Amino acid sequence: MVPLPLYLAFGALLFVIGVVGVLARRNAIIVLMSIELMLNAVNLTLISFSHYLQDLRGQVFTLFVIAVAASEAAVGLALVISLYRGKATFNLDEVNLLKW
Amino acid sequence: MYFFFFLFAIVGVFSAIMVITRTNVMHAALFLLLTFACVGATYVLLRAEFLAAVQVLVYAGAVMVLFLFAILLVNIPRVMQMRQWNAQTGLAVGVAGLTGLWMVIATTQTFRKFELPAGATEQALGTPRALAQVLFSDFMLPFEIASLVLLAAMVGAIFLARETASEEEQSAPDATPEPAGRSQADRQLV
Repeated sequence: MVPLPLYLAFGALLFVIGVVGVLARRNAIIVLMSIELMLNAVNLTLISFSHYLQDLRGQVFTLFVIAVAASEAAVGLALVISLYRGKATFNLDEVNLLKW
Repeated sequence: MYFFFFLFAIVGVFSAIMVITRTNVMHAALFLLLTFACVGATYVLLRAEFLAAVQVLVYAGAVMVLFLFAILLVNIPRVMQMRQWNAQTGLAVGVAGLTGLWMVIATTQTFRKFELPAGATEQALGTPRALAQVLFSDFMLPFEIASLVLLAAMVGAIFLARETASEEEQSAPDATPEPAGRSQADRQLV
């Protein structure tokens, strides 16, 4: 039986990789993919706790996270497409209208 | 069990690193698919078979198709020419590395002696029946709200991605003269 900390470490590594992608990449689509990676890491942590506590509520939460992640992907990609229409770019550094 | 866990974990982390380092967006999307598959396989190891199926259907199916549609709109050679990493990359890697180190140390130290209840390893917890019983009793209201969230996301996505009126005016001169003739015909009819 694989102990719980290994699953949690797997989830933490995936989350950290997603954080690096969100903070450091300039391509908007890659940033959205990194957000999906982070949500997957959270799901993995929820399910491993659900398994080790023998409590189904973690899995129900995971279902909700998946629903929110799907809608987030749809809205995010719609935003990226409308950004591409407006400024003809995927580069997040060029989207600096709100910058001081 | 250990073999499969380390197989999926190592492949998953490797492909996640490939996702955020690739210059070509299409390669990143395919590595993201591999990561989703590895996470779904880990769900099976955790006896959450239903959620593994949902993971494959929703993430590897729906979300991946959305990403591929968005990538079809990208001029990939032009995107590959631009600088891929922004100015705060070093800071981001440092902060994320420290966060990850802290998370791994905290979880491994805290839950080192965490054990399953006796005899619980073999029984499947996340069967569709058990999950539905919890979902449709204790979580009925959040379930309904989730449907509203999906509806709002659908309407919002259509609203954001539609062609606006000014763009239609801009693209009108490129169109063939046939629509103008048809509008004249319509006017004659009126």
